Amino acid sequence: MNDEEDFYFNFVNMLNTSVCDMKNSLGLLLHTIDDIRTEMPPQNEKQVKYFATLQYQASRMNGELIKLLTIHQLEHGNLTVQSDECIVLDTFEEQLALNDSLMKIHDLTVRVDCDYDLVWHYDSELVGSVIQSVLINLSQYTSHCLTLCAVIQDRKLVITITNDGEGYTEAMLNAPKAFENGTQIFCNSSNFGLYYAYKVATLHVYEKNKGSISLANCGEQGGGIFTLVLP
Amino acid sequence: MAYNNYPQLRVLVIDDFKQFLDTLCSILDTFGIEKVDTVTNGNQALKLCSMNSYDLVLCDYNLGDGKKTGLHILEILRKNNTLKSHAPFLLITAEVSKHMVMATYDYAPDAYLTKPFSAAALKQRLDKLLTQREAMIKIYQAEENNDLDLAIALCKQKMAEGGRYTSICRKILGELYVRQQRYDLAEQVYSKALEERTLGWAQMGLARVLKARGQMAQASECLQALIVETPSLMQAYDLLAETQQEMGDIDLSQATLEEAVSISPLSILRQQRLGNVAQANQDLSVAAEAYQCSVKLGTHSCYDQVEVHLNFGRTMAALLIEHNTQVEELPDKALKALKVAAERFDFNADQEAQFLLVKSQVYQGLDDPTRAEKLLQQAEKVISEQSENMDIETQLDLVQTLVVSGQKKRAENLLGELAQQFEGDEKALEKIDPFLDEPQSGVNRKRVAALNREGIGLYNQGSFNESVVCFERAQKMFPRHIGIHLNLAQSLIGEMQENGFEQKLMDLCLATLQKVITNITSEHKSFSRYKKLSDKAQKIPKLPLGGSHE
Repeated sequence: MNDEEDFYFNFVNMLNTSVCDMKNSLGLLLHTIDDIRTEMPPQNEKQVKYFATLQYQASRMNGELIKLLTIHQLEHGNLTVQSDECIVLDTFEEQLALNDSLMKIHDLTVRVDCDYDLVWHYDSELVGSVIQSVLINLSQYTSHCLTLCAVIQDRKLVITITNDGEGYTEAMLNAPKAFENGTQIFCNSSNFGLYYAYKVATLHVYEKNKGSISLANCGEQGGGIFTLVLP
Repeated sequence: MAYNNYPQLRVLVIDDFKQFLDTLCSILDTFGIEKVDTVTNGNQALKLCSMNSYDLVLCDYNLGDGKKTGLHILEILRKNNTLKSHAPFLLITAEVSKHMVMATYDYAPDAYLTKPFSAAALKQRLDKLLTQREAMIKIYQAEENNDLDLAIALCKQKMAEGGRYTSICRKILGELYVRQQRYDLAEQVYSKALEERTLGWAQMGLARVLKARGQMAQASECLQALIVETPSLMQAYDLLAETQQEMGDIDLSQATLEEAVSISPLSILRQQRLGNVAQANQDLSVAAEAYQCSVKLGTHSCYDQVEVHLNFGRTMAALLIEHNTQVEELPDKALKALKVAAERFDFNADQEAQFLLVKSQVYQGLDDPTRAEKLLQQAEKVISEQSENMDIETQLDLVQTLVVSGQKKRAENLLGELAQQFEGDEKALEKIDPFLDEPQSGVNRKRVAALNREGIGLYNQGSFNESVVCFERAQKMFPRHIGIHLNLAQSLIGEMQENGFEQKLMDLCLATLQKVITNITSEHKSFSRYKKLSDKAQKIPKLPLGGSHE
């Protein structure tokens, strides 16, 4: 091993260890925020906002750390997609439960539109982390309501996350196409989340069909639609 | 689908971090769970589990540096069947991904929760686990009571109802049929599942059925395809290696296990298996490495065994003596592994003798004959004090120790006695075979005959290279078989006469002939053949050196 590789190897190890530590700290931080809010509920709008910021930033940091390490593992390490039969509603409920405080603090209503017995094949951890990433991002740009929906279309699972709000920017709408053409990897933080979703989607392959993501705006009533298709 | 029976549950929580334990308990309290026991380390946890019947276990993965991890605890609970009726075991980790933790172990918990998590996240996970357990519990209980017919009927009933547990029931149904050896029915279940989609568990099931029926080649083909598709499915490698071993393809079996171990290096059982296969294959450096890992992983594992420590010593000694290999640090580790075995296990007389003999061999390899001799004497004392005959393994360790200490005559005599003593005991004879010029067991006689037939056939067709490969394989299995050595030498000569001199081949040829002459005298029936081949080897012209490479 030469010096450069040695340094890289050590750096990755350190990164791994310190990310675990950071996640432990964040865990305690998020719990403490929850506890404080239960014991000392916010008295006014301003205090509600403080809590919202704390909760959002801590969740976002946690989400970013997961994405960072997963992408690194997928590209350089030994992480592979491990698809299994999953109950789609469980995956949704799991993410909603994980991000429950965030939704409450932003006073968002979440609707779930998914058959109780719907089962599909995917890596629940990776797909779950994509849904989480979208939820955390949307918590900032949604007025009142988010909808998670899953259906089978043409022998593919189609997951959509719809929100009300201003919708996606032009640059974001074009991002998935750009990833596909290889003309853009990512250049800013919102695109990093999309790149992660794109990466996870395309790693799901079944009988020559690849997963995909797409973004759209709802038109007049406002809001955007994030779509994840898994073969 | 909230779960309603929380007040009835008895729960165990394991975490070394007191503050986190308190937080977790206060969360469980809000769910209405009343009976909660908490412990901060693995040993306490195991003690409580053996005393009480828990409905749910929550356990942190990391329980402190150098301590048992949550997965070690799970391993022991599952091995001893301590958790009844599939009581869920939920593992809490700070690792980023469950894959990073899990790809490496044999046992999977029922669920994971990654820190940080909220009360709502825990509640959701528990609701899901406990609701599923409630839906399936009658099937689990029927299985536990060994009432497989009832379990099958219940599975079918649940599948007819449809719903989210259909697939789980189908999987269990297949396993139940396999347990009852009703392979056709099992095959139907798996084939039906595969009609809808390629499923890892159904392909595994199908391969298991094929193997059980003795359709080894098909089983192996099916598993290889599965591994290409799902390289992370570790059970597929295990079953493939097992199939290959039963087909007599030990080389392939070792390669499969080596691949599996490179993906999942922390599985103790797989490392042990690799050690055993590589040892049988005479690939001593791989075996020593695998045994070393097994010993290391054994520190906290319930799968640690005396045998593995001894095998580490055996392969190490053989590496040092027969192969004169220089391996840094490993001999020290082997001696340490033996010492650890003496501390960790209560030896019976056989193990005590084996321990002393193996240690003697290692010291012989380290050029310390005084120490080696002393250990050999101690071992012989242990053996002579026993009124009954020792195990075949002990006796063969004694043979080997005598051989490496230069007492060849005594070794030969002992082997002769053993062959008589174990006459008719096929398993024992198979173990003696590697020490003999000609195998005694039926299986190995057949094997030698088959390998010879194959190799000679290739030779006669002029495929010298292939016949070399075949006889090299045979030589590994029967390192003292004179006929095989001579056949290998002849094939090598054939290859060089056909395609020209090659230093590597010539070295192998001369080394092989050397093995023959150190073991036979001029009266031996094969002596004249040896002489002829030896002359032929001398006469192969060395090509002039090319110049450019040298």
